[in-house]
Amino acid sequence: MRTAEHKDVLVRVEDLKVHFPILRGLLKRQVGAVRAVDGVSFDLFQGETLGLVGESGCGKSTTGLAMLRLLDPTSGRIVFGGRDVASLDQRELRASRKHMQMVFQDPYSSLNPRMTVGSIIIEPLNVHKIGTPAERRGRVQELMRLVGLNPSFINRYPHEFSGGQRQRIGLARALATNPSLIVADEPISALDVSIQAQVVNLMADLRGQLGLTYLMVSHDLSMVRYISDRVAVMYLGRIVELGRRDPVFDTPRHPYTRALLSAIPTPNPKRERERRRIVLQGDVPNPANPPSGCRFHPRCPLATDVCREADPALRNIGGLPDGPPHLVACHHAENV
Amino acid sequence: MIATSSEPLAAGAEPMPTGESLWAKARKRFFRHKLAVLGLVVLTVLVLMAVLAPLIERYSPIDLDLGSMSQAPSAAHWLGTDTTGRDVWSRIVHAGRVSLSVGLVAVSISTFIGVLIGGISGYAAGKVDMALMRFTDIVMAFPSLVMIITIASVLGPSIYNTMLVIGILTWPGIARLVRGQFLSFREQQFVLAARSIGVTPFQIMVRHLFPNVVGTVTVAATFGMANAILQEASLSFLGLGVQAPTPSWGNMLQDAQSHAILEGTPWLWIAPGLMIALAVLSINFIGDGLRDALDPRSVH
Repeated sequence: MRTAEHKDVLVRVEDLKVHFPILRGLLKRQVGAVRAVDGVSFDLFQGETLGLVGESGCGKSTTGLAMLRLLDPTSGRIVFGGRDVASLDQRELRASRKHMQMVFQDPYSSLNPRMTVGSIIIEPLNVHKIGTPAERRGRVQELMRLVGLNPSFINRYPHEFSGGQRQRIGLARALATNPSLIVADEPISALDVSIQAQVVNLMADLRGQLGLTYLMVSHDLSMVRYISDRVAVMYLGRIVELGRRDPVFDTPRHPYTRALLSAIPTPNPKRERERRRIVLQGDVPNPANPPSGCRFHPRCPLATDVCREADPALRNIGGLPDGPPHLVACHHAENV
Repeated sequence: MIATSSEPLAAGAEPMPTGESLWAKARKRFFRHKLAVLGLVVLTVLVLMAVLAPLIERYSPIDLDLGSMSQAPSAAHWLGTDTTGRDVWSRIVHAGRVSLSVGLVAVSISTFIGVLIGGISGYAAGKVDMALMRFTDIVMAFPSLVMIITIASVLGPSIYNTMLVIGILTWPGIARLVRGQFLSFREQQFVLAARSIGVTPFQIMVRHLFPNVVGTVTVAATFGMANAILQEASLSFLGLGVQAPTPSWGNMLQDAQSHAILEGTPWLWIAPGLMIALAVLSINFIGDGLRDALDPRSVH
């Protein structure tokens, strides 16, 4: 099923799979595969922020990395600008990288400790030969101002900056080539709580100013709710629910989404007392050997025989006729 | 930084980074290391002696003077003369040129090969790494003296062959070191970031990974240089290294190994032995100092 074409689609991900082989023994025979991402499809509309949420190990980061071909997908298509990123050769891929960039989780290890801030930000311009050397230097200063860094720090080294400032440096590097797509992999989870809001607001501002499209990979549901237009919920390598932000947060249709959202604490003490957590039984199954039928059925309070046998497809439930659909992969979505 | 209620958005108001480069800090730490500074002074003197050899020699280091054989140190011959009447002081300063340049060239060769093989191995990982490291193990496990004697006898003993032989036999240590470092650095996110920008694998190795191992390699190279000087000495001692009449500290020792000389004219072996010890020790101290100075975790 496809979403209504009410806006331009920037990236279309079709049946993306990323499997990691499990090698055993002296001869390194493949005895299985960890299905980190196992058939994920979604559209990313021009100018929107799509939040990709889920617990650790559900494949959300892998999806982000595979979209940028920082990991090679096992199968599937990633159509970006009319071309399938998954099938580009190395040379075309490097050239296309200026249109799609990444912001990393760890602001400490994502900046080379031996390079100055200026040389970190100018590198994408050098790699893609954008502008004359003088123009590139001007652009670096412009980028530093854009992300709220004092351009006089251009010759400083990363270790002299705080986590929030380092994340700004990473953001400036990602924006250098004027990309249209930014994949942000947990961009604030390594930061101090007091600084998280600033970085999120900066990213939101930049999206408006520069017309960026974000894929925001995160386990921080409050942040995703704050910044996203649409939200996709992943469980065990699959998208289980995908829709506009408010319907997903207010009236979740998938039992897993409901359980996940019930874990968000509320700042209001009165409402916090009334909050009922849905505690799931058991652990996340091994992605090398996912359960039959619906992958969530061993932990699902609503599971019936059909869930054990048939793998539910994403279907539109309760989406507005003129808006994007609200997709849910659950046999019992109507009863949730 | 301390969690205050908000980090001001205007970066100008944030705490000023100190603006000291990594190298400036390393230099500071190095000069606080007393033995390393002492080593640097001694080595500088040795290098100056070698460079200025033609100016500070008092006699020819090669021409025989049969009129003054085996003389004890005196005002005319500061360190005495050898069995053919050559001035030991003049030979020592000239030998410094040979020994130090053998050390330098051999270490350059071994560092170059080591960084190249270790770097490729560590960055490529997997099968390439496997193949290169087994090759490295073979070179490492080969009895080096047998190898050196064979090569020296095939190529003929000369100062250039000595440099070459030492160089191509001592790289595995550096290769393993660089490989280990590359393996750990390639997992850092800045390498992923470089790939996401579109940097080629070669550029990632040269621009992103290599600068991070320069410190380690510098330290390993200093120790390697001390080792190469000793290797040259033992090769020359065995008569396979630098050939007479060119003096090197090693072959001066070799010439002094008869019983009569050891007992009767000790200045013939004390001087070159002392020079080797001084050079190796001072280079090792410098290496020690560099290791502490270049380690970003060191606090003092």
